[in-house]
Amino acid sequence: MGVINFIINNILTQAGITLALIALLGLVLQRKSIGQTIAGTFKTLLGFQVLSAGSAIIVASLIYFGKIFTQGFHMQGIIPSIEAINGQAMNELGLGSPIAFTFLAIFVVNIIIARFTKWKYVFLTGQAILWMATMCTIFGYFAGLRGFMLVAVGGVVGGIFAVAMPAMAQPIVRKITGNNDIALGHFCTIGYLFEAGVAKLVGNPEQSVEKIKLPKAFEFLQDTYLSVMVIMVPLYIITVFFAGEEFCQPIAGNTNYLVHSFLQAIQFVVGVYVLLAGVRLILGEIVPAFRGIAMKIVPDAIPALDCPVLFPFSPNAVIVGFVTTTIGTVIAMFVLPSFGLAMILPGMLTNFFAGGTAGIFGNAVGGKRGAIIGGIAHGFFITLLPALLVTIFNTLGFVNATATDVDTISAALLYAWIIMPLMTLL
Amino acid sequence: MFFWNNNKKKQEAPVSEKVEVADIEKLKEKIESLETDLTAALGKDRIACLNALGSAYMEIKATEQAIRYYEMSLEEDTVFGKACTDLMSLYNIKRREAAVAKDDEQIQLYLNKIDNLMQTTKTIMRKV
Repeated sequence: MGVINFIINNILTQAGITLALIALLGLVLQRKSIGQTIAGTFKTLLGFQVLSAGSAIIVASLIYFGKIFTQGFHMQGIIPSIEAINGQAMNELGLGSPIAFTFLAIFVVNIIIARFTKWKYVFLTGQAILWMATMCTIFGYFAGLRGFMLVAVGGVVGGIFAVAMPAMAQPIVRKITGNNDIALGHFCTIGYLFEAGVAKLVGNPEQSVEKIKLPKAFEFLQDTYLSVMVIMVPLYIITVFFAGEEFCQPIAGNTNYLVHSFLQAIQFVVGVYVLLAGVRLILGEIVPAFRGIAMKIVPDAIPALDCPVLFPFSPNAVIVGFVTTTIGTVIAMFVLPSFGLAMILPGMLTNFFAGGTAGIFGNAVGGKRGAIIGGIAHGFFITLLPALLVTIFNTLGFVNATATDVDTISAALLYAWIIMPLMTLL
Repeated sequence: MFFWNNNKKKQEAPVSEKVEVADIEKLKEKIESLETDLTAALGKDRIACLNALGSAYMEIKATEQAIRYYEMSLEEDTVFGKACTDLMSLYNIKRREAAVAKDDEQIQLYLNKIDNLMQTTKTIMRKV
């Protein structure tokens, strides 16, 4: 009994160890060699430590940013970063183990639904499942769920989303790809369907955006971290100007306050780099193991893949979607505070990947007019939803960040608006 | 029923177009001619030849040869096009075959090929 208590209280509460054990399980089920099993298990443990280090770097930079933004603009400035949310949840809030178990539970529920129902979608984008597990765990915890129930409910909610989102997008994905071989596994699907809905109302699918020639303009997007830097550096510098030297110089110490602000922006990018390196190490062992198992259990599965799978079918629409979504997010950034919501700053990576994919949906349904008008509406929509969660994130102790992927936010709102009131009634 | 698999109905294999014997013969002749052209083709002509071979092999359901030529095309000219879109379908066909045969190694091989193809599309997109 003492041994069991020791394992429960000292081992399974350690997120890194939990994740490593999940990887070990996957590697053993795949009948890997002893060497590969040991290496894979320790790489996963290492990955979690790297993720923790990245999270600490991001949080330090966000705390600084929060201070100067409030001083400069007299309101809260929120950076949309699911990576920051995940890092803080796994570390500072100590939810690492439940997130790890929920991650596994989502996989299991997805496989069960695909195996026994007509919806054969198996969600293969490991990173997206990790973000969904994060949001389900955070908001399940907020709703008062603990222990086994926290993981079970998260697994069921996440698993249903893992099948339902690809299923809902599939009619349009079939139109885009011309076949039913692949599905979309990206938890921004509600946003894509929103853009498609707007595009259907305003657009004409005969006038595709692929028929026009667009200028080359996006070389800065060639690197993920360059893309983040392009936004963060001007953001921090402009903010510190408004906050003023008198307020910022004491924080900067012996370094000039402008240089200090620049370095803090770079620190944020470094934090994202380190955190994502940790995520890749973690997922690099777990995802291949479990998706191999999933493919054998559901041989007629339709794999739900990450959004770049659609890019080759409509590259102009990606560019139009990115630009118009960015316009929409900037409009929302200025409009939402007038309704009492926080100022959500634009997230360039989300605008590129989610905005680009939404552009493909908008173009497929409504041509270039659909992609343009739908894109601006999409940008507003994907800024509004994260804004609704800011108060809850603040209550839970998250620092100046909010989530990004709208499906994960919808899952969170499900907990906040339906599950929590139900639990209050019971 | 709406939710569950209908176990009474036999799981039907995907309906594939019947390629008539005469059409297959024509395609095989076309493939022979293209392979001859490929030995001398350079630049854009070579890429067009590789893509045409990939497409022809795909039509006669010779998946491995189709993959081979499309991969060569994408390696020599990494742009969006038929090679990119058809390779995704072809990798899925092979992945499904491996899953039915419960061949772990092949499942992982084609899942990794799908991952690499998506990484390639991200890279191409950023350079567009």
